[in-house]
Amino acid sequence: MTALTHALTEAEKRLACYWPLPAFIASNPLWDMTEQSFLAVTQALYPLSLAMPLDFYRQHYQKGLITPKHLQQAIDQILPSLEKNQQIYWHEQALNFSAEHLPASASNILWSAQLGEYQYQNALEWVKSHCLQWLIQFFSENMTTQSDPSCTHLLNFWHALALRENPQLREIFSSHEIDFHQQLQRLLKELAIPEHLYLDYFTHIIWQLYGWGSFIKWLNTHPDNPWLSANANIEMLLIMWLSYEWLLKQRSHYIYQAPKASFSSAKQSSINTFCTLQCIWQTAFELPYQNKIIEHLQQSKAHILKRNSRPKAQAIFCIDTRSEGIRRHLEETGDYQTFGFAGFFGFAFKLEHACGQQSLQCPALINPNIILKLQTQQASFGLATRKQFLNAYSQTKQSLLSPYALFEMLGIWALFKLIAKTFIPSKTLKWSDQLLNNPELSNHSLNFDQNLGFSREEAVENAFFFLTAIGLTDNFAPTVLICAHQSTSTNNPFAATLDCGACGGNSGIPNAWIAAQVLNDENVRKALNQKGICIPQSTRFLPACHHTTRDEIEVFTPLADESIQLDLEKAALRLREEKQKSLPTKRSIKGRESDWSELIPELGLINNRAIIIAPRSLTIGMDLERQTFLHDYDPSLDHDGKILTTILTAPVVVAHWINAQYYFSTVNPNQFGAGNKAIHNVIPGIGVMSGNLSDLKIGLPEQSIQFQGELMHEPRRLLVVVYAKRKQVEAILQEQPQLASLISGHWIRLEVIEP
Amino acid sequence: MTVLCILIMTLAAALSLVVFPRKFELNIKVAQFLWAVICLLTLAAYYTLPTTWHWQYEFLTLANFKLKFMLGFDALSQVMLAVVVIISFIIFQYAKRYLASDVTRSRFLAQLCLVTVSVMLLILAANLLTAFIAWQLVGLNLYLLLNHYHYDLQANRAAKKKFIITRVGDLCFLMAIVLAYQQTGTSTFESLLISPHPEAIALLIFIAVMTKSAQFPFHIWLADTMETPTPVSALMHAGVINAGGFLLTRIASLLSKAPVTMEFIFIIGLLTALLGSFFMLTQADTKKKLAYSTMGQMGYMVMQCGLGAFPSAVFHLIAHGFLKATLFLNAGSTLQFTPATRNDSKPFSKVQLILWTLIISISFMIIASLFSAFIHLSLPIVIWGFIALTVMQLLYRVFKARASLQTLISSILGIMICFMLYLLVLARFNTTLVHFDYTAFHIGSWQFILIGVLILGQLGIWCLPFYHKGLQCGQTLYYLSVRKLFIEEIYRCTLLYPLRRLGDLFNQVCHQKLSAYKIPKLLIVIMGFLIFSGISNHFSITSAAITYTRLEWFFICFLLLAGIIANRASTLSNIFIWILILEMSLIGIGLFDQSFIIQKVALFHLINMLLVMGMLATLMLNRDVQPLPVNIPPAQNCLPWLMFYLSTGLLLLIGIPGTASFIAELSFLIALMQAHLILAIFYASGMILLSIVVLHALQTYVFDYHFISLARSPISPFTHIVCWGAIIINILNGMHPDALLNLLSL
Repeated sequence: MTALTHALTEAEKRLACYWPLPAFIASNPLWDMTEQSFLAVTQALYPLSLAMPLDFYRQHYQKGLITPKHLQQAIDQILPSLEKNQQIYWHEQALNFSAEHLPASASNILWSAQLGEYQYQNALEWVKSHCLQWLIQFFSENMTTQSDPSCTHLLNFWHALALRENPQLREIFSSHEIDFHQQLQRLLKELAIPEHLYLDYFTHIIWQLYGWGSFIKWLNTHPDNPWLSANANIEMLLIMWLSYEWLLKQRSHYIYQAPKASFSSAKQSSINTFCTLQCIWQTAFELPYQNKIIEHLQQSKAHILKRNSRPKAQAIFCIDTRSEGIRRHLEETGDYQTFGFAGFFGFAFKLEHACGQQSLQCPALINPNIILKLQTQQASFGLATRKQFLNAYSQTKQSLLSPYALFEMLGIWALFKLIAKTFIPSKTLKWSDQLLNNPELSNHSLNFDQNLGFSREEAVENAFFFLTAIGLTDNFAPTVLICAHQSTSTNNPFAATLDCGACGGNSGIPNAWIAAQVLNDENVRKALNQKGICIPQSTRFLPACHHTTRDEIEVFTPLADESIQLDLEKAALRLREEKQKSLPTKRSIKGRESDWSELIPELGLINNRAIIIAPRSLTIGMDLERQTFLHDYDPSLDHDGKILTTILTAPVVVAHWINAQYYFSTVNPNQFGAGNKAIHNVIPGIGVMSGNLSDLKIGLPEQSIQFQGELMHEPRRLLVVVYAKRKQVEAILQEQPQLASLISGHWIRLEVIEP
Repeated sequence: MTVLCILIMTLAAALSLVVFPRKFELNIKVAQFLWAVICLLTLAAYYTLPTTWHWQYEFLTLANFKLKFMLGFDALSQVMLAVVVIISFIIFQYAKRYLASDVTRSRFLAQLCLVTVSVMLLILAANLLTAFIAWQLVGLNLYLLLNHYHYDLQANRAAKKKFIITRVGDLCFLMAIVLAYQQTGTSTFESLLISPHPEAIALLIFIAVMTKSAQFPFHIWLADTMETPTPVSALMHAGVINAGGFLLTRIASLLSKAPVTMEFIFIIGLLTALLGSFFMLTQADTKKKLAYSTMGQMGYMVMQCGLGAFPSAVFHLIAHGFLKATLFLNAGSTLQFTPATRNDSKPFSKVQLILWTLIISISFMIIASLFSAFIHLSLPIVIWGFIALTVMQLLYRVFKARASLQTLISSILGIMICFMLYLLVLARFNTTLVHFDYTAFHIGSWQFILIGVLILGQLGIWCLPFYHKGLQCGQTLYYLSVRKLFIEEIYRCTLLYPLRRLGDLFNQVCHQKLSAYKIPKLLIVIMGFLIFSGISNHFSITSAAITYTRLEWFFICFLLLAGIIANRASTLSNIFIWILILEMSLIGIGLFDQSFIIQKVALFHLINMLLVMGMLATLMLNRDVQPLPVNIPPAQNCLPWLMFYLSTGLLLLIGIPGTASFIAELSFLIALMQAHLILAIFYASGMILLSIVVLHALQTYVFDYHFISLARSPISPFTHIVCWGAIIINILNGMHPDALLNLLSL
């Protein structure tokens, strides 16, 4: 492998995989680096910080939230088998190490950064803005219009346009080297960048164009996505950047001064100390909570009871942390049994909406091949007219000569919209739904084709797995709610971050419908009976939805027992009261979803910190403060460990992604967060940038994480608690090296509670 | 009186946000209550008959004319006041929630209120001077709002750019006022009619309008202002930017005497409209798309003014304001994937499509023309043409959507109803507002030709794949649209870079770091200066006072030179010294003027300037003012006291109304206009240079947190007293200069 290819593969690993924002999937931005340990990655990426500043932890230490014992335990975990005096040394360092004398970053490793100023502008910014401009144009052209194939290739597109501005660039592309590597090599040679710097150099470029790089990485890893097909890769991105630097070189005749390959050994060791301390402190910060919860669970293990009677009703929720609250309150109101399973309920498919766009209704790890079409209601005559009119309006607005008089014609009427949206937002939302009759929004109109798209075998298999995984194989209640969740917000580009992650950042309602429909099917039940699950005739599976913004539960088919409805309302009311206290502003929960000026419609999965894979009876009665993912799992039904393997490799990984997304957006908002929502500027179909021209913003916005400069989300890595035999878990870890390296590298912490 | 109440209430709302404690959101509740009262008062004002109500305050008497601050209330201000209050209130409500997670929400809301007050002032202004004061205050407040995240360099740059460009317009406006005063003795809008040089005044005011309303070629600031919270964009695009159209309507009677300017207005407006739309087509992101759409719409509005259709222009700016506010406030909801368009059936061929569109459009227009005769609506031909273009496009899209016949007919009917309603509203509007007889403007055949060309262009767009990437021509157009015709680059190369190079060169001279080959360059530059002043001197011989003009030329050259050098000075103390020199040459101009009053003003300015400079010097005393890389997190989004004083002190220098330097700026301009017009122009460019210097210094030494160690040094109580003293004295002098001036004459 040459230095170049090595540098390229390593550099690409530093990129996140960024889904387009309308289908946002949380992910660990450093997922490809998780084969190394957290500590090693922290050291490798220095000066990019992967933990909070040391003072943050020390403040907690001074307040007594972290005790010396926790610190000691953390040192033992990060640096096992230390001698006694070494331990004391680290303990002292943790309290006294000063970050002030750390070497500053080698920020001027980039050619343009070294040049400093070009034509009274920052040369780095000059290069960056040129690259960004063409990247934005390229992707938005490909996303919004069905353009001809000649512009789906990033470099061709860029050549065709950028070469007009800078004909000098022709020189470097004249020889028609088709191979990107050759082009790259040539540019690097021209810029006189030594080989040993390639990786550092590429990394620095990537930090500058992190958002678009991550978007390109998603594009390459998901070539059959339903939204965008374009030809772009990291090499092209680097070629663009280097070409502009080459152009500057031609104009300014500056000669590159290669910085020293590495820091001096003393500096390097102080960097290592710093990174180690960050890891130690972060671990110590997590320990109090983790120890407490493990202790609790160990104690409640004794009280586990196998249920032998039919409850009044059962409800299956998503593993989402927000479900924990509603489950707890529902159980308190009466004889209810609740379960947790990933919000797609085992049925993965693509959904085609009435307007023709598609959404993936499954976790990101699965690529579904079944397409379901959303049946529209009989298009009424008035509806078609309204839609046509709106369509004509938006296209007239976007044309060269006709928008002027159009604004006069329709502008005056916008006053009513302005007033309505400001003063009576919830009614306006209802009206506009009625006016346009969006089938996505009015849930009652959800009605699928009779032919579900799943073959019977598939359906039975999915249903069987679904029921055994959560341990619901007998004692079926007459009513079983399959409760998806959905978040509603207005004027919020980050709406998908609040929706069901297991349904591809969409509402989980379609999945609940499908699951209920399959489980109510006579033939499916017969087949399940043969497999040993007997669902009584009287049992009905009902699709429902937990609206997480306003915290209500909506059941889509009428309930036989009216008292259930009342209990659901009571539980939701209690949850609202509980949630209201944790919200940063005093604004009531009710108004948040329809208000177009609300930047914090809900707190989402804030403070998520653990996933518990156990029967609900282990955690019942515990107030987990809506901070844990709960996946139901009955070890007695899983003799070969297949179910546990699936849980550990799918929902746990998804939970880790969500957790890591929050973690990294909190500890380093500049690099991994999306910044301030108030200045976001939407690029339709792709994402947001901040302000006038910036990199594509990935990750979570400031408003999801902090309020008025204070953190709302406490950055903690995920704790995985499994209720299973230790041997079985160890056997699974041996088969799953990626999972094992996540655990051994301290990306997540796994604890086993033996039955 | 109601009107005055409204003004005061809005000010009070701004004040209450700052004064009342932030606990329990008390300040916001009080402000909201005040806003509710304001709305009621506006309603009352809207339904009272417009009286010839006037309120005036004479704040400066200069020899032969009295400068008055005058407010009035007529039909136009009645409508506009209602619109401004509605939009501001809605944006206030929106921003209240939108910025809930921002620590400095109260400051932001207070600034929103201040912008509203300044816009109201502009609407109520009864003479040019008041309009100008309001005009400047709008600019300043907007600068502060655009700087809301002042630690963000991008935001800062955009705000600076906007301020400097509008500064060009401001000085033109000021010159127009001075001309008006010289020719008529007052500057009320009615008195402008008797001015002997209507063209000059109208043209100067129009340049101000161009900078404010983002007309080509001053549009370059508009799209950069997205680094600020969305409500500011909404307010700017819905309210503030319309000030240009409003001002043109205000001076409609003057414009009726300036046909050449009217033609110029028309051409600029049309060009801006077309360019704005052209740039809009290729914008990828929502907000910039909206920004260029605004540019196009502003062009259209100005074009309507150029045709004399002032009521239509006002109607347009109101309609556009509402729609643009909605679009901006809703800008977060444009994210969704665009659904794939499906090609189902093909009932129409392209020829059929266009034919049908044309037939229906023509019948529409015939009906409309009959209808408009019935409702007494008369519009210039060009505007009818644009309406026809819109109708054509709407119908074309409807036909193209290939719906069923039933839907098609109902859509066409819908468009028809919208269209008729629009005409009705417009007709009603035309009768209520100032009447302007645009028929006085020749309805030449060129209007028909223009419309013909535009309609052909529309047909061409339908027929040809305009943005087809494969086509060379389409590609070129796409490229030009993305790069905005390189207008900004042209500015950079022709104005910015030479100015900076010159500044660098002079700076090197001053610091004796000059390489040998730069000396000839420098000699050429100095020779140029000398020759230039010689030539101008030659022309100024015709003027009466030779000796004085010579001296003035000398000072002006010095002023420009100091400005150019200060712009590239490398430390704050250097900038300070050069600004001092610049101000000294300013005072020199005044002191050597023949007029006793101007000399008095020069003394007045000297006192105030020394106070401000003393304040700045106290701040910099014994403090390290070298830019050093120090990272201070902008967690509080709030300037330290030292920075606050520094920025206030610097802003006091550039002639914002209400500060003492404004009085001086105005008086010196009056003096120079009497002496020589070219001199006055150079003086104005000197003033623009001064603002560039000050804003640049603000950016590097105040807002760029990452490079300033100044902020960390503590401030003594003595400094606090000195600074507040200087600021208060300066503002008092600016508000009521007569006190000190009378004192000086003793």
